Amino acid sequence: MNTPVIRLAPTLASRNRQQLLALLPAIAIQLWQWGPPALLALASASASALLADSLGLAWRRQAIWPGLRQGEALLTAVLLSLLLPDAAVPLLCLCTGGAILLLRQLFGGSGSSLFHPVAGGLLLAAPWLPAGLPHADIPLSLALLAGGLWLLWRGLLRWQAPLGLLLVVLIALPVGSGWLLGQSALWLLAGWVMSDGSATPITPRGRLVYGQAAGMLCISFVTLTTQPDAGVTLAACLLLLSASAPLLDRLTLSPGPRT
Amino acid sequence: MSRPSILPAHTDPGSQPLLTTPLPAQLRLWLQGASCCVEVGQRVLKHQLLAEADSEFGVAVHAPTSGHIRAIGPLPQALPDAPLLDGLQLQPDGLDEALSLPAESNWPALSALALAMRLQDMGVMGQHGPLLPLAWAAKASPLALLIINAVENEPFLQADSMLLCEQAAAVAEAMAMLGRILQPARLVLAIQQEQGAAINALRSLAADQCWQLEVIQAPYPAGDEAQLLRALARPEESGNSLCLPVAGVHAAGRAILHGEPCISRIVTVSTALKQSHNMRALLGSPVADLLTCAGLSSQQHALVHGGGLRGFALPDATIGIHQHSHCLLVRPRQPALTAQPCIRCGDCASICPSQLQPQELYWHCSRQELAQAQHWRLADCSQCGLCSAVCPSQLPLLDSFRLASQQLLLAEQQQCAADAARQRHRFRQFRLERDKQEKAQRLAERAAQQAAKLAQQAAEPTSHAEPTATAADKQAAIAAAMARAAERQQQRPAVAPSVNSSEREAAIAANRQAAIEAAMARAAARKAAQEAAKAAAADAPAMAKDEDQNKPGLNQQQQALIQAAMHRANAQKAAASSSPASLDQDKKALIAAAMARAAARKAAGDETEQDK
Repeated sequence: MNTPVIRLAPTLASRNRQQLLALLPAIAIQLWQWGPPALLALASASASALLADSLGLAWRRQAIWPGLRQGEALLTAVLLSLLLPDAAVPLLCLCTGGAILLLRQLFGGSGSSLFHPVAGGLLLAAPWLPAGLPHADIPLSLALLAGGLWLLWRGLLRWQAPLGLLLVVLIALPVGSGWLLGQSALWLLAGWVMSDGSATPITPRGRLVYGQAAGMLCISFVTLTTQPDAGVTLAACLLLLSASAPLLDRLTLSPGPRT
Repeated sequence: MSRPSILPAHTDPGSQPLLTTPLPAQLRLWLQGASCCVEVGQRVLKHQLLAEADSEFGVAVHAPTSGHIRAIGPLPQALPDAPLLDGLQLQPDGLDEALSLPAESNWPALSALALAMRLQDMGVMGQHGPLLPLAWAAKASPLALLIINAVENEPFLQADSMLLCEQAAAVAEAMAMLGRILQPARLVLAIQQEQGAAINALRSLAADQCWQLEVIQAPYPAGDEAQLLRALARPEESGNSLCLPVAGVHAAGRAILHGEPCISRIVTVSTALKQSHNMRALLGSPVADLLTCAGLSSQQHALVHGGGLRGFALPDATIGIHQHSHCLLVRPRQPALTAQPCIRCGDCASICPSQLQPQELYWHCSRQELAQAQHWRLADCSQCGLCSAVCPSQLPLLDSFRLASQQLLLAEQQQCAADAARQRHRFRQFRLERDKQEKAQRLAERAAQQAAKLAQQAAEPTSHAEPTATAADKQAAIAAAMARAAERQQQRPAVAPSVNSSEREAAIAANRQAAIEAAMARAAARKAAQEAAKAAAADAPAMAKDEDQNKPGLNQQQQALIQAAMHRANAQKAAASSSPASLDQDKKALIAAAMARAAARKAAGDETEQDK
């Protein structure tokens, strides 16, 4: 195999590292808000994710270390521990490991998982989450927004789907969707889950449609039902729409004009 | 993420001098589309012809220096996964004895085709095969736009800039020569804005010339023919324009104006540390010698043949350079990459200059689904290598596209060869059948003539009737046997499986008709023989009486036979003149045959009446 002399884009491992780097401010704020237990949760979620990933790789007879080196398992663990700050540690470990095993490894590894493990993990943990209206977390949201903008500047964020979601939320402000903007889960899912390629359509047009559909579904659920948690609702919408990604691909992907 | 900003900018060769490599210990020359005309052990002089082009796409090979031919046989190619290619090894003797070069004085009188063939004989190569494609030159259509491509298409390439800096006057001369012979409406030298030194060298020359300098400013694959044509050709010109690489044009100038075959080229040897050396190297020089000349060792480095995006790894440093070796990249050895699965980031599709969907193409190419790959426009892929360079999973996109294209090309060539063979086979069958028909016709005519002659002889009152009758009997029998043999011969190819087309139907129809006619001729001959026997058996006065009765009948018969033969000849001529016989001609032939048959039947009917 020939290796191209010139690399114009970071490798997969480097991409994931930079995505983790963009989460650093949010992690710092969470540690400041929740103290040492958050650190414990983060560490145990990471350990569980790495264990589940290596188990899955071994079961699929793949090389374990090159797979783990890409850092996708670690990214999933960090995202889930940011999304579930008030969950018990065993629950967090269980849903992290379960999501990775069920939604990534069972589907054939990263790249072929149709449903994003973070959204799936959030949905797995939803029944045991403490009920009650989650409060707006403005500092965390701002930290996530800053991280997302940095990723965008680095050229690592596929911005079409998040843009579609934000557009719908802004248009629906008169209906009363403004409180969604203060939810850290919205920013996290928009910046780190909706920008992932394997669970979304591959064309820019398809991604825009995907983001808008997710926004509309989420807002209609939140305003029409009594489900209070925006994060869980959005995660469910994303999972639902991921199933339509192949259809959107079929509709928007074409070989192009012959020359 | 725009393309021009992320690619390393072109660096000018600057003040670096053009090196000349010392004479290597061994030269390895490939014979692609050329047949060797020297023997192992033979001493050759510099510029001597070693192999001449044996196809439309090959070019001749000349000796780069004097020496002995050491081996002729398959050599490894520079391309990855390419089969061994015939080549020859030349051991220089260090004397560098050259043949005297006859310069062509009357070159302005050359036609485009003569120029193309002369360039082929001089070993001047273009992008694919000879500099001027022979098929194009043979058409001799007026040329609207001739582009001389001096754009450094990939990062790290400097050879064309160096050539222009060093040999600007020679390039200008060569372009003037091409302009004079090919007579293009517009002659353009395309160059990129970053090649400042080369532009300066040309500006002073371009003032009062028949060509103009076009400085283009476009992102990476701008030096590709298709992109250049899109950028420079006006809509009405794009149909008949030609794009030639500047190195080939320079070599063409040397070949036509000075009679010097193409035996060397400028190669850039570049390292990762932004150091580059340009050197003029003899074709066939081993890569290792060029590295030594640049002060590098081939043991500690990985070698890449080509530019920064399209280059491919060289397996060893003994391979000789060829006419397309623009650049050699020397890099520290790296562990092999492990490709990760596609994460559907879509970067390859957004960077592709041909607006392809490389991820879909890769999926099909890596599964050998070539039909699907063609559906996803594999043919439009310019193999620029940008998709491989941006892929975060480091998938070998370019490699798989290259491999699939090679396979498609191979399949196409095989298809072409099969088509040609089928065409040849069809024509052979047609020719054989035509020959058989003609032979049968000749035989039948001769039989009919003989029968008629015999009948006439028999009808004449002669004193020795008995021997004549037996002779006529024998001859008629022979004629009948010959006609039968001809018929049998004709029936055989009709049974053999032949191609199914209108040709075959025409052949079958002609066959059947010929068989019928042969049968008719046989019947006529038999009747004539019977008649002759009867006539011989009768006595003289009765014969005299018979003669009056028989003569008109015989004449009728004869006439019918002649008529039938004429019809047949006409029909066959029509069939022969248009081999894929049209339906109308078929029909006409059938009608003529039917008429002939009717006439013969009538004649036979008259005969029987008269017999009664």
